[in-house]
Amino acid sequence: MDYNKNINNIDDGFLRRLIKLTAEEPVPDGFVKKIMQQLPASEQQPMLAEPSRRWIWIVAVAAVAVAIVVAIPFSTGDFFARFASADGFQIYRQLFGSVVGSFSKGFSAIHISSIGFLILISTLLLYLLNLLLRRWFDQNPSAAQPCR
Amino acid sequence: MIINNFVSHSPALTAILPGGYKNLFKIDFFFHLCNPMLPDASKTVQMNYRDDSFYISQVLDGNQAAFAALVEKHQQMVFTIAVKILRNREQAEEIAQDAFVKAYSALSSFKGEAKFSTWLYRIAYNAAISAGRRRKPEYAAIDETLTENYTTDEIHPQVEAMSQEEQMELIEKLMQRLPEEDNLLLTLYYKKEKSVAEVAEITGYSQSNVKIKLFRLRRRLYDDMQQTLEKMV
Repeated sequence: MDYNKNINNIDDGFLRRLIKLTAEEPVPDGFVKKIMQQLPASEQQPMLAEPSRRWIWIVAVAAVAVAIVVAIPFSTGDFFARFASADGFQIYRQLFGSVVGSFSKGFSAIHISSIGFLILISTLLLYLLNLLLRRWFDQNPSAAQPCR
Repeated sequence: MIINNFVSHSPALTAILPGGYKNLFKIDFFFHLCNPMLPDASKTVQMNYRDDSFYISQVLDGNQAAFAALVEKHQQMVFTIAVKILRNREQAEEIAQDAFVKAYSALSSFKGEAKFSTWLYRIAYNAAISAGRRRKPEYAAIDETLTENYTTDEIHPQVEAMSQEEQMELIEKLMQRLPEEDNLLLTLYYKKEKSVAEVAEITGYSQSNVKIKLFRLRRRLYDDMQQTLEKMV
C-alpha cells in the first residue's frame, strides 16, 4: 500500500513513465521562419551599450590605475604615517583623509587646480549617472514611455 | 568540402563558428540556420546545440541569425507550455511566437542569473496565462476535498497489464480532465523532467507550493485512475 503522506516524496517512477507516454504536440510548420520574420529590423537589435560593457570596465579600471599611479608617489610616506598610530574606527577616518590628501597632492603636483579637479569629478559623476539611468531604463522599459 | 565553401561564403555564419565547428554542429543545421527558406530541420534531425550563452552573445553582438538557433532549440518546450495552458493550437502558436519576439527584444536585459531556458519559459508561461485569463476568467483549482481511495498496489498491476496504447489513452484522458495549469505542472515535472526549483521559476510559485501541488495532483491522478479502472472492470 502506498498512502504517501510526505509531500517531498513526489518522485514517482510509475507516473513518470506513464506521463512520458503522452503525445507531444508537434510544433507548427515554419515556426522558426515566422518568428525570424517578426523580429525587429537590424538597427533595433538588442545590442549592448556602445561600444561594449567590457570596454567600460577596462576604461574605469585604467582610469583608477592612472589616478593611483599619479597621486600616490607624491605622498606615500605621509599616507602610511597618518594611520600608523590610529586604532579602531579612527583608522577609517584617517584612511579617508589620507586618500583625499594623496589625491589632492597628486593633482596639485601635476598643476590641476581645484576648479579643474571639480570639473573632472563632475564629469565622472555625470557619466556614472548616465550609466545608472540607462541601466534603469533598460530594466524598466515601461518607465521610458512618454506620459499621456 | 561543401560545408567549408558554404561557411567561407557566409559572413554571418563565419562570425558564429569556432575553429572546431565541424565537431559541434551537424551539416543540416548550418544550412538551416543560414537559409530561412529551408523547411524546419527540427522535424527530421536531432541537433547538437552549443550552450545558450554562445548564441545570446552572438545576437547581442548584432548577429540576428543566431537567434534562430535559440528558437530551434527551445521551440518545442515553449509551444508545449502554450498549448497545455491554452488547449488551442492556433492561439498557442501565436502566443509562443510572441514569447520568442519578447525574449529577443528583452535579451539585452537578460542577466544570466537564471538559465536562459527558464527565463524564456517563464515569458511563455506568463503570456499563455494572460491569454488564457482573457479567454476564460475562472480557474478551476485542485479539489482540496479529495479523499485517498486508491492504493498503488492495486493500480500498478492493472495498468501494467494494459497495452502501451491503452496506457497512453488512459493517462491522456486523466490529464485532459485536469485544469490547464495542473496539466502543465505534471508535464514539466514528470515528462520534461524539470526540477521543482525550475518549475517554481517558470510558474512563479514557491518551491513548497509546487511540491504541494504536485503531491495533490499525483493523489488526484491515482484516485481518478482507480475510479476509471473500476468502471472498466
